[in-house]
Amino acid sequence: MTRRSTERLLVAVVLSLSGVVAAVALGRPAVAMLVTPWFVLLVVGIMRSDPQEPSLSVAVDDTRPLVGDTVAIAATVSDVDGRVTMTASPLSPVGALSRQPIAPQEIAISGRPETVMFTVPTDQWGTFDVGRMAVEVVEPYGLTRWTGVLHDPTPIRVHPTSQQIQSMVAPWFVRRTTGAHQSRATGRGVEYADLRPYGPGDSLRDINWRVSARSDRLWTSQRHPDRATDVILLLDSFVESGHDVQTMFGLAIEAAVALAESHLSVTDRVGLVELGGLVRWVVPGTGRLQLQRLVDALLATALYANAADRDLTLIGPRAMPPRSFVLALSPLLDDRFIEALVQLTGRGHDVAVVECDPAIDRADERAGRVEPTAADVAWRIWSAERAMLHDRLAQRGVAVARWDRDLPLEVTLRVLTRNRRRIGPMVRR
Amino acid sequence: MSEAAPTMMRLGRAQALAAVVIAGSACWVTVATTTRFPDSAARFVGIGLVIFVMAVVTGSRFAVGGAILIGLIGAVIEIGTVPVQRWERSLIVACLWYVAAELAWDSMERRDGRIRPMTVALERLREIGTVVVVSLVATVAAVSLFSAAPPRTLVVLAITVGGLALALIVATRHLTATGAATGDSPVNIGEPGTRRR
Repeated sequence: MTRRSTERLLVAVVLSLSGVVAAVALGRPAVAMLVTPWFVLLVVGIMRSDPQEPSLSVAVDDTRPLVGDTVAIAATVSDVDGRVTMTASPLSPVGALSRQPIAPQEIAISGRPETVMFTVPTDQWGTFDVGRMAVEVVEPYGLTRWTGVLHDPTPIRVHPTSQQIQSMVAPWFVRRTTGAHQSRATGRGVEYADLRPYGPGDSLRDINWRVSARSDRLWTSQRHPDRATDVILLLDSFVESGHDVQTMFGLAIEAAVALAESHLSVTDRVGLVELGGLVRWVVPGTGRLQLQRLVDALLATALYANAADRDLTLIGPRAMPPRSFVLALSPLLDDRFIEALVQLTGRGHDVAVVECDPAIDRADERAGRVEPTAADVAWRIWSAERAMLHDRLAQRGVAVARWDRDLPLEVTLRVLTRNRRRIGPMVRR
Repeated sequence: MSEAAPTMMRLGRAQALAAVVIAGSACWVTVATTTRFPDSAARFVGIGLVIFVMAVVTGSRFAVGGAILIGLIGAVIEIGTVPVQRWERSLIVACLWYVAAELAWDSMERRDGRIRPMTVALERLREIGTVVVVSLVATVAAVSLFSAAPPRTLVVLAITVGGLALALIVATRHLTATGAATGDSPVNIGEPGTRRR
């Protein structure tokens, strides 16, 4: 804590000295009485002055709120004698917890611990430390002021609001455990696959009586079993030049949370790999606990500028089981990430990309103009390069679907499914 | 901004108005309660009031002190010109200027947007009241004792002044010790370190 004098101290000293000097010079005691309150203020203020070493403890009513919820932060200050003004401004790498500024709060404390309550609306997802407070202690009678920052680590994780996804992207490969994705193999299931002659051990329930009635032998229906899969959410956290990357990165994380929720709800094992400035991963798993692990990892994700080589050799083998379904969320701006996608297909993974596109459509701006501007030409070149990139990835069996901020994720996933169907045979070849 | 912030702004503006009114009263007491008031002194008092109003409006904390200094210079000129000194008048003017300054500073703090509960406002009021009461009591006691003490006996005069100083210190200690802020805050939700669920 740093001690500073207040305007009261300076004014009181100047007025007291001036009054005394004037009274002595004029020989009039009544002049000294003109500054009596300021003199008394100095005396009582100095008598009550003490070094201030406040301590802070912070508690919150909810450590895992959703975006839009209101969080009550209780900041308790003790070991203070005076007026305390506390200012909270929780920040994360993605932004401030609340769009509205949080009003500083004042409280009078005399030794006993006192609590100030901040009610903060959460407008931004992420991990925030709400235990960092700027504190200003004004001693009794306000002659000196102590300022500093107190810290009682109190992290809260604000979760993004869940996007309900009806349709999921079907994987090419499935595990042997029961799930919700239709397998291409035949066995017990719901979806009809084929017919074969009845054999020993076949269940009577599987006999297709309609077909059997038209022939001289029994036929049984074969069906596609429903299986689970391993889904790896591959998040691109490379910092790239371009506008609004921060917003697109935020959207990618919101999409990742929604995808994790939807796949975990159908007993898929879901893991996370963050490839970028930092390389981190969460080993695939199932259940609510895994969802919490994934959300915590996603909320702690941030963009880091890094020029070092980042590739898949840094990732542990358990993070990406063989033949897992890799769902990448990326603006596809960094060559290192694109190279990683190609490597994953080479390793036999099923890869699809949701392209978080930071570019805007210039069709509206071009409307009504005949001659293209330099920006229009640049836009065409950019679009052509993107199309070439999509084609190059499609040749490697990687389907891409663009997702801009105005489009629901549901629509993008349907487009991705359609694109995967279009290039699917190339994967199996 | 919190819902309480507009209320704080309104209270701050009301407090600023009160500060200006009290500063005007100090000027009025300075000018109107004397038989002869020099023009130069009146100019100082007027300029002091104008600067005070501007300081309150613009939120300049140090300008408040400057305005009071200028206003008091007018009073000093007036005291220097009149043959009879009236200490009670000086004391009233001093207390009015002091209260006006404190209200002005508090109104500036309120207008910063900070939320100030009633306990803090009462604590500030108590501090201002303590200073004013101690000033009045000390001055009245000093003037009474000085007038009552035999002027020719230096020893008696010294004892009187010493006793007065001691009484002032004891009174101040008593006031500041017993007037400390106590009581439960309305926003207290639990002991420190506990987590509310």
